Amino acid sequence: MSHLKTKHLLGIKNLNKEDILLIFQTADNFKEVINRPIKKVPSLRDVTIANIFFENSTRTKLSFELAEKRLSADVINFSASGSSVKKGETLLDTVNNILAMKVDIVVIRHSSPGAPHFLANHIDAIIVNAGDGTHEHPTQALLDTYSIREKCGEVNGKKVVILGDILHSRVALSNIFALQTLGAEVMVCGPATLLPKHVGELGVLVENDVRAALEWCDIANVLRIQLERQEMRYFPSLREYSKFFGINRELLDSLKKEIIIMHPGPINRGVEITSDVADSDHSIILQQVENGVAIRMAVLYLLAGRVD
Amino acid sequence: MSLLLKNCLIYDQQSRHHLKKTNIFIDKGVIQSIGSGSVKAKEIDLKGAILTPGWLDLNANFNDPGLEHKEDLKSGAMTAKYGGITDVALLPNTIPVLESKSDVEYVKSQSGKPINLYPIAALSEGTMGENLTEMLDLHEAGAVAFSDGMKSIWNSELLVKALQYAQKFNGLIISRPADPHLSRNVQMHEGLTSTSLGMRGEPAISEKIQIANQLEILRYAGGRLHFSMVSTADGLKLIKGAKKEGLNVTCDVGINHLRFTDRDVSNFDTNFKIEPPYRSDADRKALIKGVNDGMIDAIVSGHQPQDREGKFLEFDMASPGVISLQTMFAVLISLQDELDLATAISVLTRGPREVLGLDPVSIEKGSLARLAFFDPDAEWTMNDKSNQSKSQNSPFWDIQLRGKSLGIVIDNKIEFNS
Repeated sequence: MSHLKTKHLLGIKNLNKEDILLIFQTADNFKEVINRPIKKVPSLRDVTIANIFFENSTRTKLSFELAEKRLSADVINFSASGSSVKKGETLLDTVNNILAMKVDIVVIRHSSPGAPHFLANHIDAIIVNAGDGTHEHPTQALLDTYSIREKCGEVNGKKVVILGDILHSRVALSNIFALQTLGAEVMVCGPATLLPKHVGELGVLVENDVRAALEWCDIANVLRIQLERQEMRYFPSLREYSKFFGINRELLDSLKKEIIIMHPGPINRGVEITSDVADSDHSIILQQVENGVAIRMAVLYLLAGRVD
Repeated sequence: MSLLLKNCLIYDQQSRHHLKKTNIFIDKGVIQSIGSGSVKAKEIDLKGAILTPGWLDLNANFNDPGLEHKEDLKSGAMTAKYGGITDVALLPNTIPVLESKSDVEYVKSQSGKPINLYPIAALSEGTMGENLTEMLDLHEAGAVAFSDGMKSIWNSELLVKALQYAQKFNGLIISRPADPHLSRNVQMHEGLTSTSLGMRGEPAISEKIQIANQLEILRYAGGRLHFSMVSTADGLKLIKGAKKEGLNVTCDVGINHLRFTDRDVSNFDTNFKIEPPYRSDADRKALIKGVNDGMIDAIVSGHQPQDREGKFLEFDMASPGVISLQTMFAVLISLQDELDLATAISVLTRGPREVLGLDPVSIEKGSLARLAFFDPDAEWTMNDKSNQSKSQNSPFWDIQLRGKSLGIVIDNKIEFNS
């Protein structure tokens, strides 16, 4: 088994195509494992992993924890809502305290862009970014592109639109990097207030009209409206957002071709996507969740290969 | 004791001796002769070092009173001295802010040891942008200008009144231009890099908008306005137009803004977090051009010490600012391909004195001896040993630099940096 060219998983930006394909290949094996009656392998039996979440998370945390347990790692969890600084302890102190308990890998979610990079520069453990503010969420992008590969055979040449709140989304940025690395064409679509001013300079198409975006794409990745990460109003009302930027059955049926619908969850049903779309045959939302465990097993397994 | 400085290369565009290698005789604190003549004096061989008039910095924070653990008047003056800076104007953003006669007198009491310190008083009470400070009284006590320092002047009515009120003594108002809303909670310049890093950026128009507004206010109210730490090409262009039109406006640029761009923030190093943020390379090049063609009146340090607790953090939680006094000459040397050194030195010596209305300091017979000397080839590293500041938040920390200040001459005294 070959190695990743990086010691940590800080972002998709730090991965090249070979790294991503290696992760996919490894995830293929683990996906087979987790569909067996005995879903556990002993690969990380002597490895200790700390899941340190400074922001609320349900599914990412569950997914990581499950991945870790199926690899037979020892797992500890630390959650603190809000920033550690507000509680009087710095991030570095918090993590060093946990590392003093002899931890090999730290999975971190934090509200500050670059928090995992900061840790990687100052502590010894292997760092896995589980979402840093509005920057990156690399494992989500890996599982998203993995799911596209699984559904379509390959990612190369596919047209993917990322829809919704791009400005506050770490999923969007990681997806853009991953899709581009794998040769897909990427478009972002949403109200102009939710698109970063300079996003076009990343080499993506920019569109404000949802119908035009859907007509163009093979796959639509619909993002959650991040109500909790907006410090002011970026659009007048949820009703208006849903009417002009939401995806419903009628809209999908009126398109000239069938497209695949993805969503990183959790879904605001009736806001960015209606239930009859989320639960339809077009949707691969639950496959994404299943693949999330396999992808995270692959990432942890490959990174731990370097634990001495 | 009189002084004879031998073998110095003069950099002073105003002097007949510019770019000449010569000797300088100083007595009674005045340059008595240049070049010829043998005199009895303490002889010092400067071995070809560049000799310039003493530098004046228009924008520094010494955090005294309030946060003396980051810097105080004594350590700040020492840091300036090690940078070749003989005169420093201090921003009023101390705790409490510099807004009373006794605050001015406190700074003045520490001036001349050996660096001259010039207090810039707060423009508004508490730098809150609401009510004017006692400008006449502060001026009488010795405040050289009025500013809310690192805070932008968001209140147009306040600026109108300040410009009008200060005309009684031809007073100078200094503004750090940034739109109060567009610069809120920003981490860096808005552009491709901020987008790739998922960080909230300050658009370049934040600065442009406020410069445009305040130039209109200046046109209306009259008076003298100086924009500090201009960082964008568009902002500079507006100032250039206003100067052509004859408005009484001047501006300065931060030394490190001539060197760095937003791309330097890419690895989340908090020593690149600064206000205003490092901009695009096109902006940086416009600033360089502005210095070369004389449109920029002064280059400033923007010296802003921060402690480890404020910098050794996640980027968006870290405090902005860098220490920069000691590395100014090295930055100039690193920019030699783009920046005309002689012009830049003029913008560090003559320009800022003109902005403050102080007497020029020149390397001419009969001028006051206020000099600095530098070795453009000396290599050194900014680290625990060389750093004179109480803080360590330098983007050049542990990096080898070329170009070093060797010492200063004030009156009849020469002080070498160790």
